[in-house]
Amino acid sequence: MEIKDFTIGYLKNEYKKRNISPKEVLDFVFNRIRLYNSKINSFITLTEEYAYKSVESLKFEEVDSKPLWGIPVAIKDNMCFKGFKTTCSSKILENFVPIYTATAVQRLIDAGAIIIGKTNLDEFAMGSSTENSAFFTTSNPWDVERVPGGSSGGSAAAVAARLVPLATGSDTGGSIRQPASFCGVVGFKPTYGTVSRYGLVAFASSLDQIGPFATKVKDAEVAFSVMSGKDDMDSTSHPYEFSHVDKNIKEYRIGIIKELYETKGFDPEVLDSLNDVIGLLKAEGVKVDFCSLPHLEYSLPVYYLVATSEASSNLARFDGIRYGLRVEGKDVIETFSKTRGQGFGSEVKRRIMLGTYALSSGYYDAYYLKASKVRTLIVKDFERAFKEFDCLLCPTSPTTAFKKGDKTNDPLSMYLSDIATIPVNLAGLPGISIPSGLDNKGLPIGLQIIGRPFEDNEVLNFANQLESIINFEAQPQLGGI
Amino acid sequence: MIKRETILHVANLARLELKDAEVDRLKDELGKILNYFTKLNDVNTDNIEPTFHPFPINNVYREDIIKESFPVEEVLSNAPNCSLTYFLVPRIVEEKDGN
Repeated sequence: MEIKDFTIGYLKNEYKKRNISPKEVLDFVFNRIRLYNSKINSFITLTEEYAYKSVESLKFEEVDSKPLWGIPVAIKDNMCFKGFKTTCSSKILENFVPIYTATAVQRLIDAGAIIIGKTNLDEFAMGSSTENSAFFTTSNPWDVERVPGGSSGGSAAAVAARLVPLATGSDTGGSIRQPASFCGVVGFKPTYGTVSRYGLVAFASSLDQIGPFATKVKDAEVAFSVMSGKDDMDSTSHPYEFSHVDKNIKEYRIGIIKELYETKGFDPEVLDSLNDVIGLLKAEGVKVDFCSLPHLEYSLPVYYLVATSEASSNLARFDGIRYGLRVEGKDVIETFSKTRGQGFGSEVKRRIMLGTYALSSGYYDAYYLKASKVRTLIVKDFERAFKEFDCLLCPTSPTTAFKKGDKTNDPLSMYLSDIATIPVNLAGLPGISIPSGLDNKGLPIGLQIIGRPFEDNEVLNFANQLESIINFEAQPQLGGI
Repeated sequence: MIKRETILHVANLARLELKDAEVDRLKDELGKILNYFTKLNDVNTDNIEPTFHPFPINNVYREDIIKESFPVEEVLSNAPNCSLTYFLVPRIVEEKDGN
């Protein structure tokens, strides 16, 4: 057996021709994990026994009807999968075994996907490097001294290292797109509400969204088409139905976001790569122009006030009573405080404190309410831009992957690595990161494409064509496939 | 600047027990972060409605029909402490001396 390509299209085609079997692909996947995971540390839990059992129950006659028939998938460890630990990379949930499965995960399984394990993240998805995991830091497959980005760093690194062809992530301020950018893979954050959040451990409910990682845009589209759609278990889920569009790239009017181009803090090589893409698009006859989103510079404070406020409220459920860690105190209040004081790591505590402060009596108007009003202005900036443009382009992150430890002592500089992804969550828009090249250190650079709400299909169609034009084929030097 | 007492007050609201070193660090870090956030005051938000959610959503109603729930044993399976069909919790009501 030989696997030449780690895409859904290739694997399914080989399955149909009976050249390879899903069991052989599982052997291949777990063999690669045994070879390389000790360097990368993507996985918190492997579900090997389950995976082999579930390939046995695949029926060959369903290979055409099930879009993910026999495709191995890794799940970010903040999404519930019944009977397997869901830790959120936190000590407070270290031994938590959910009694139900997240809707998005169930839809992948129903489409024939084989869950092979749960991946590392920044604790409760709070972070941009996976260094906030209570267990271990994931390494970037392109340079193991560097971070894979975060919070979905385990999933991004697993796909980049070709340990698995497909993985899920969640994105509250960039947690899918920024690690995709750092790891040289595709990461898609769909429109808010298109994928049910039932079974996703909540961080900031008005921003959280589930999406896929893959090596190609087409695969992200397949996974999204499977996961999306109305779910009665999530009252914010939208009656969305995905439909593929086939529109020539020339028909798109593209806006380059000035505020994420002319700003200090963006690596010149990252901007060079964007300029190369602009050149490629113009050569194809695509109309490209600058657009301005004047309130974008306020995104970071707005985001960190909104997200931490929502988080401080969402994380109140971790009290040591019904599940998770309990540290006994002399009364119930002391039990809550000790449990939370010992169970949460420093970034989670920092954000709970910030959010509690922003919501507390006397500060609510100045912080949370003010931020929510500026959020309106950011949403309106996007609405204005989308009257003139079909998709907006910018770098996914100001830099390529940074070294472990570089930003751990400076929360603000860590927050700044999400400056280009955060506004997209505030407005609930679809955004995708695709690799656009390598810098002089050989590290991947990511390009972000943003679309109108519920025009996820347009973003994916444009990204798919741009991906073929850029033709990024590089892989980390682990032993490529 | 943010006062040490403010950190302790907020930590109590959030039911977070913090070590002294954590209080000191949070005092510095939150001070810096909140100071950076004051840049929001540059924006005029008179007559601007707040956005609490990306899209307008309404309350979702459903018929009040009894459906199957999770079995009690499963729900209790993650409990740090339970007995029969109950979660066991620390004392909530204070005991009077001598009673």
